[in-house]
Amino acid sequence: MNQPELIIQLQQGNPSAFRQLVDECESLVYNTALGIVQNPQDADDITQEVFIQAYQSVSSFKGESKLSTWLYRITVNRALDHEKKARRRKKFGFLHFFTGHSEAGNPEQAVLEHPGVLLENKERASELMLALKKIPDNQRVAFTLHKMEGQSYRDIAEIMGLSLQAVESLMARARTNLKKVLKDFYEKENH
Amino acid sequence: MDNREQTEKKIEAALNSLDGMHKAEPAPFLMTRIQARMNRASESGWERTIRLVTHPAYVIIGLCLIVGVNALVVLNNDSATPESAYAAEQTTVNPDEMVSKVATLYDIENTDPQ
Repeated sequence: MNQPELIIQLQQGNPSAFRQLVDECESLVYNTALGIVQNPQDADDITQEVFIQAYQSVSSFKGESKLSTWLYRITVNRALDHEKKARRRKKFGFLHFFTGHSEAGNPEQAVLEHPGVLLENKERASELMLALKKIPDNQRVAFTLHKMEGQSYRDIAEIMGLSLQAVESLMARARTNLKKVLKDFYEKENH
Repeated sequence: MDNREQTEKKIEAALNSLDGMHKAEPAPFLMTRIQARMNRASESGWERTIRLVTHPAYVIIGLCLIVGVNALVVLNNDSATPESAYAAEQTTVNPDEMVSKVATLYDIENTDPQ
């Protein structure tokens, strides 16, 4: 099934079209979510939520952008929303007993050892992941989409609903801020 | 190589550490899990209410509320006791008085009731 046909079938509620969407895009959604939340369990939850949302709202998809761009957009929003909730949960941690939520998704504590990172880069990548948690959300999203998903600045602009210049500026600021955070980290390590 | 140069090198290495990375694989049976979640989301209002009400946290909160209300009632009763005891004392008939009254009414030896 090609993309226009897939969209039509999805809008008609065809279960096999939905299965095809999941099979083709699960890696895209999961890896984007993993890059942002940096926790495999949370990324898995978000992946499920993204596909459910896509299934429920595909009727409103007008086909103005690529299906993958639309999925990226849903994933980024879901992942950022998830992080906000996790931060809120951390603030009201004493209520965990009542809500039944665990600390698994704590965005400040977990360090992701991404399974796809080359062995010789593992240590530096973990440090970069820690640094990524300390820069603003939009910079982190742009950096993650570019570095981990290999998206071009033009595609990132479309996913984030920004101009190309805005994305270039975001990437430059992301690099500057990451350098600052990493510098502090390595200087502390040297002393 | 001095510390500064070493730090710069580490920073560059960290920034480029994601180059050439492979994609991570999601856990298997994603489709099955999505379907299960969709089924859960479509359960009826009653099912959802029952699941919520039987959630251990809410059960504990409910029990605490019941115990708390009971404790309040008991404490209120305790603090009201002295007054009620006094009132009870006031309304209790003195047994001697009762006896004298009975004697006054039915004592046949008492010929002069006044």
